[in-house]
Amino acid sequence: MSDELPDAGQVEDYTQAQMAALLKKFDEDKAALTKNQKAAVARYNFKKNKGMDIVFADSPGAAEAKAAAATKPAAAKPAASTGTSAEDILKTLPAELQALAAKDPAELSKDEKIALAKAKSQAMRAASAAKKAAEGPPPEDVAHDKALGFEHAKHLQERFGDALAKWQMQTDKPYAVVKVDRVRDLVRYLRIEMGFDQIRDLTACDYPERTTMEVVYNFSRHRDHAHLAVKVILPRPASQDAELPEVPSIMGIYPGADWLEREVYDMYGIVFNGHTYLKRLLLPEGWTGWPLRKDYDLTKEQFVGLSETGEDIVSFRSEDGW
Amino acid sequence: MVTHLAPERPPTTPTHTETGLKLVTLNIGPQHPATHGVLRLKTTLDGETIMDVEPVLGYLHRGVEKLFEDGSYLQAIPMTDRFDYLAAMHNNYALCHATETLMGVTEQVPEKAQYIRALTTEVQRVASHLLWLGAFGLDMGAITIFWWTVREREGAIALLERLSGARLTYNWFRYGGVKNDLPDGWLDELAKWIPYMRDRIAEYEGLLRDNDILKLRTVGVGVLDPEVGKAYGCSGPMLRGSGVDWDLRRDEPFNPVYQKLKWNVVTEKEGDNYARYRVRIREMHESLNMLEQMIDMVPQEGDYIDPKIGEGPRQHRMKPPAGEVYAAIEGARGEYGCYIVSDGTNRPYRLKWRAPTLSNLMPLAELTRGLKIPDLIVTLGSVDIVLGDLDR
Repeated sequence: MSDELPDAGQVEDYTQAQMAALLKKFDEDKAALTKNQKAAVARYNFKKNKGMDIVFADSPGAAEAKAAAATKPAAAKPAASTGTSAEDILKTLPAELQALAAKDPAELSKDEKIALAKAKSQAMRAASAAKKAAEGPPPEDVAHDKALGFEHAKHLQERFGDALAKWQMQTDKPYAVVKVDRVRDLVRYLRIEMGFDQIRDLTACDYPERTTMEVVYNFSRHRDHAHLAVKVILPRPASQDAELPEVPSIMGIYPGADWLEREVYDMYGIVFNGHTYLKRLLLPEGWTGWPLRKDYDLTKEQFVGLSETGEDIVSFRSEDGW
Repeated sequence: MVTHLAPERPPTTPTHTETGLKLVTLNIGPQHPATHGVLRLKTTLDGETIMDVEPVLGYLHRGVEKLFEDGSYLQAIPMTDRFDYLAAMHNNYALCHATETLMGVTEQVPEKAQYIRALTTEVQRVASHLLWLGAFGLDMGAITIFWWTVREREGAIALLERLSGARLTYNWFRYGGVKNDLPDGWLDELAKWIPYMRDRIAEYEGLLRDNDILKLRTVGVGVLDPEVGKAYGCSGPMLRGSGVDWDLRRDEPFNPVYQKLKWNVVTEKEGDNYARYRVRIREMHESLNMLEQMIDMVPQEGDYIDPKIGEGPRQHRMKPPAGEVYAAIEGARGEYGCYIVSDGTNRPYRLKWRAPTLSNLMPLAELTRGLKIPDLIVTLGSVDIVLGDLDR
């Protein structure tokens, strides 16, 4: 029966009558259909459910639709021929992997297949990155120029250029990376001279691969809606128990930094020098570890109880708390 | 073990610097109705005068920012509902807006979806302010207003429930749009609810506006200086009650619909508890006006979600480009912000929630120093805290 129906995956390859027969067969005995035929049924159902126009092989617009579908891969081809095609990628792989690729896929073991796929995708990515780099200036330079296109960023660069390591973009807003020892000078200048009157946010992020931690400040200026982010990059402690990194506190300049810095200390173990009351904000004081760091061990549960004097007790034993 | 030592705590029985008399430390909460949840206020008193207030947070901390990193972007949306559970729509919106900004698709959100977003946001704002108003009355011993506002809040919640199927945790926003189209007849129900709500707000005003007791408790109490408020990072009605003309709906437009409507940013210049009460009442009127204008403008046809981003599993697989973003929206309590670091996978590498009530509560000690305990309760009420948002 399935011999009468074409073995094709597109709805456009079937006439209306053939499709009706295919759907009937799909309901009766799915296993008898080929993979392509099943795909055609799925495509048909998808289009029907979405209320899209369905074109059959015998309907009037079929020829145009087919032609349109045929031009698509043709349009994509020129890009592929510039060095990122599958054959070119294979040539860049190491010899043993090339040998694997030449074999029949059915003969390969699972590990070999995975290794091959990984190497292929890596080579693919490298090739596309190299292509991008060849086309224009590196994205970091573009972002740098874009950030300095903002008037307040330019002003800050002229006045505080020696304290700033680089400029980048936080999607649509500029951010500056400032040297740790100049944070307080810079923030004071922002508040008093440049009129950044509101602190929007203060947080941190942990990057184990780059072995850095970042503290991110977001300020805004109400009179012209300017937004500026400032970043401090710190060396990352090697483990949860290692010595804590330090940043100057800006609590004396923006009082709103008070709890935000305490929260960062609580979650990342970054010490804010000059903070008048630096203790954990959300977790109890006796908590072990810095939870939002990427190396925090989530499998070790900690339990909180109350001592007789009203202080929180934190313990790894469940009977000490809840 | 951790090498860093905790700093010294202040002495448990501090003494008055001038008289040398011993001060009293009084704990309010964490289990106390006046703290609107599980907030603990450690107050230092000289007689009945407040010398210092130290809010102790964390009793509702659930570590959601860590949980975000283990789920896809889609799985983050229902978790944001649990932050500010009285304005879950605004939480949803903040996350979706920040992610869309990161992906550069804010322009792609279809017009109809933008309208649905603005409609639900404003209905939610009225619902949130209503509950605040009731609880604020309750803080001063006025029980009637609480029954009234909670009764009328049901109307707003019923509207949102018809959309999403949930009363409080809606999970209604999606990246590039919303979860579903408006149900049939929803706009008619909304149109009936608006004039009804206006009459009710007039009733509340009759009960409270010129009430001597309310004025004695609120006028001139808990005054926040505008510059101080900004430096603390306050936002929303808290800041507008101090005369700062700042509203992200107008100043950092996250939804183009607001540019098409006629509305004003509500400010009151006094900065005391009464001004914050006035701001919220007037904001409810503004929201109702906006809703009324939007009913006629909502397009009949159109997508409720960007087809390029898609629905269902495609939202799960959605991979924003590597980068970082800070974006915020104006919600009932102020600026709901979101700082996202993406590494190009379908899970956020880091997702920081900027809680509006955290920054709003910070100046509490400054506002209440020298006042009496009952003033502290009223001032705390006027800040409008939600513990789910404060502790995350």
